[in-house]
Amino acid sequence: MTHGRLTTILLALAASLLLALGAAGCGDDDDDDGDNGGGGADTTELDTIRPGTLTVGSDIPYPPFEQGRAPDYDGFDIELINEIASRLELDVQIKDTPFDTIFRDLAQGKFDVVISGSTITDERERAVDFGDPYFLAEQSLLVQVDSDIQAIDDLPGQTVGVQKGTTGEAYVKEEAPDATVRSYGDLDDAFNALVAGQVDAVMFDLPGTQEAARTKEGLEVRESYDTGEEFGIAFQEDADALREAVNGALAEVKDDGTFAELYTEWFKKDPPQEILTATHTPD
Amino acid sequence: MTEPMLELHGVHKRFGTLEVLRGIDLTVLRGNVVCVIGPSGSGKSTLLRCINLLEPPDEGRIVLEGKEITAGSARGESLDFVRRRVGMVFQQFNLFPHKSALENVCLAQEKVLGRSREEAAKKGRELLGRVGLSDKASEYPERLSGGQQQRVAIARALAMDPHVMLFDEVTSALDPELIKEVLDVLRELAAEGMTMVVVTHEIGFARDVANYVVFMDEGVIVEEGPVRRVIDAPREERTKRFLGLVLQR
Amino acid sequence: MDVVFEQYFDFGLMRDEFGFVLDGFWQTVQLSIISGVLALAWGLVLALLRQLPGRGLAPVRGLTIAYIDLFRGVPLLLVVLIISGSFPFVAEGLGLPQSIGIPQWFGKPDPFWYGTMALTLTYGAYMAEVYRSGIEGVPGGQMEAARALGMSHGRAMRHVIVPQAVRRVIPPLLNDFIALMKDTSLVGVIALLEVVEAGRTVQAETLNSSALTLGALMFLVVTLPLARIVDRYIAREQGRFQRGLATA
Repeated sequence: MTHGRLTTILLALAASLLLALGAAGCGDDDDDDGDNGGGGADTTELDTIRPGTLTVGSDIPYPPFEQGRAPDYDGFDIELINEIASRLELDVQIKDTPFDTIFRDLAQGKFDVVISGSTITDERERAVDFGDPYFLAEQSLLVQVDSDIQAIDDLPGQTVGVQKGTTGEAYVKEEAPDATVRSYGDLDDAFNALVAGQVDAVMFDLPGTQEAARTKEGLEVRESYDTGEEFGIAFQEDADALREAVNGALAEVKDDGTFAELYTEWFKKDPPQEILTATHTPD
Repeated sequence: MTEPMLELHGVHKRFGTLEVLRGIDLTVLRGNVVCVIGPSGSGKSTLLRCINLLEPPDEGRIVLEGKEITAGSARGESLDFVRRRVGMVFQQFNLFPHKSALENVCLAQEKVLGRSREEAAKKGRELLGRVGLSDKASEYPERLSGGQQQRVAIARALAMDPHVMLFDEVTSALDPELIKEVLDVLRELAAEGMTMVVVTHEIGFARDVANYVVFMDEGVIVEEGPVRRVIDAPREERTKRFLGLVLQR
Repeated sequence: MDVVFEQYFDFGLMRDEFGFVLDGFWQTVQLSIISGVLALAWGLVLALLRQLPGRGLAPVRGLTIAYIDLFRGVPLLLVVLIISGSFPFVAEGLGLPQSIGIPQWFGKPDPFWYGTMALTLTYGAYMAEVYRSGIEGVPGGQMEAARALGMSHGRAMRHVIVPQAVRRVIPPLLNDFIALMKDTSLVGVIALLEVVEAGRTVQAETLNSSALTLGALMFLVVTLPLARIVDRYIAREQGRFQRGLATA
């Protein structure tokens, strides 16, 4: 190749690279402008990443909490955060994020909040702060309908699928240390592996397993475990103002009946009394 | 009684639209040394490669030791028959670089003729001795000079006990000072009665060693005959011109 | 900047989690070696099939080329996901026992074997092309000489062409092996606990990414020497060429 030819090719490559970068900078991936009619007024004291917008991180899908495709996500968490944001006169932008790094990403400032069917735990609060709880959850064991596994005691020697970074993963490692744990980045992969027989069981939050049993063939929830888990919205550690504002809005949503409506819509029953009054103070 | 070792009748060979052999008729008697001379592009190499079916002719018949080898139906059989009786030495030596000289000479003996390792090695050393390379048996081709490599190539072909040897410009790729050692081997072979078809530019060699000369030009045999006659007293214009050109060198 | 250091270079964490990450790396190594050897062999088979002579064998050549095009053209990650997702059902459909559909051979879990299959099928295709360039790089005179001596096509390939071809392409084959070794990390997506997945597990539990850095270091311990071996091999061949000793 002649010197001149090579230079031309390199210049063309550099130009295309710059164009591509420019185009990427202009648009925004993973956008959901779940526009809920908020304006921009009076939000300057809530120091959000983008003024007037609440940037939300969530690992989608986890039905029935978050599901669907951008920009039309829905689910209990999605509708709840939309409701809260509208009380605060903020727009909502949802960013789909893998669960195993979601709290780290929040701590690094990629979102204002995380709502992702996630349990309040001390470990997580080393990096983030949680607001008041909005859901009571249990762990549960999902198996194939004809499985011999009846209880957690049957797990030693079996292979249990979990989602990486969840309390289900921690629970099964704690309570059934002789079981082989297979940790999937995507929740759905764990369920599909169970359907295919590649794992013998899945340990995950009860609403999630119930949904999987409902939508996938041949699965049923064998046992549930009262772990007293509470789901909360997560914030960066120094975002006290935002956290208090969101707690306030959440309390409003609970008090005026909207919460109960949403709960019944997604879970087909009334919310338990404790969740309507539960609060949480981060350490 | 000398019977024809090799007969070519009306052989044509085309490469795409280019007809390289345009009707060759040739008879080679047992024990003869036939030199094929002519300008580049005359089809000399192609002629040799048709004889051992490296390039099967498009038209015409070739008969080797009374058996027609161009009969289409017995393809595989013919190939075997030919290749076991006809040895070839190439201009570029084509030694197997990943094998020593002795291994080069033994490989086909073992794999094609089924000789045992010992048998093959014995024959191999004997042949290497005949071409003056006994001490190079375990050397690899990369350490041998061009002339030495070519002599190994000759030994390799001879190891198969051929009835006819084909030589395709075997000295053309050699430095001048190495040519003699190779020609000497050919000379000895001829003296021992091997039937040889030699494509060469070495007219001096032809005059000394060959008993028959064929002059080719543009795909046809222009003139052929006993060596003294063709070289010293060519009849055709083209032959005269070619020899005039070549001998002037 | 301190944050980056703390997140990725927490040596205390690396020390604590060293055994766990090393176990993952051992999976990586095993997967690499098994898949690598299989891919090297499968690639050679494909290359030989691809250049079988004769009109009658044209379908064989055609199928081989189609295979190579397919696996060079589809991302390895897709191959991993498709094999893992479909294998149990395909095996069931074909009436094969579960020990085939969900292979747990030699005590290794099924993602290990799905990964082996995906890596072998894909890298076999890449290596086939490398072998092909080696075979085509052997001077034509070699085959002619072998045939003139009476060797069949197959014998000539086996004793003359392939040994030379393989010698020529050892550097690119080694490079492909290094690439394969890095690509084993893709099998993590089906929950094989190889070194990247091990790092991510630690990351999810501790919210610190130093285990990933540790994994990277473990990789370098293997891939750097391999790269140097390739370089030295190339230099040696270059040297021989320049001294006029290499084959024409």
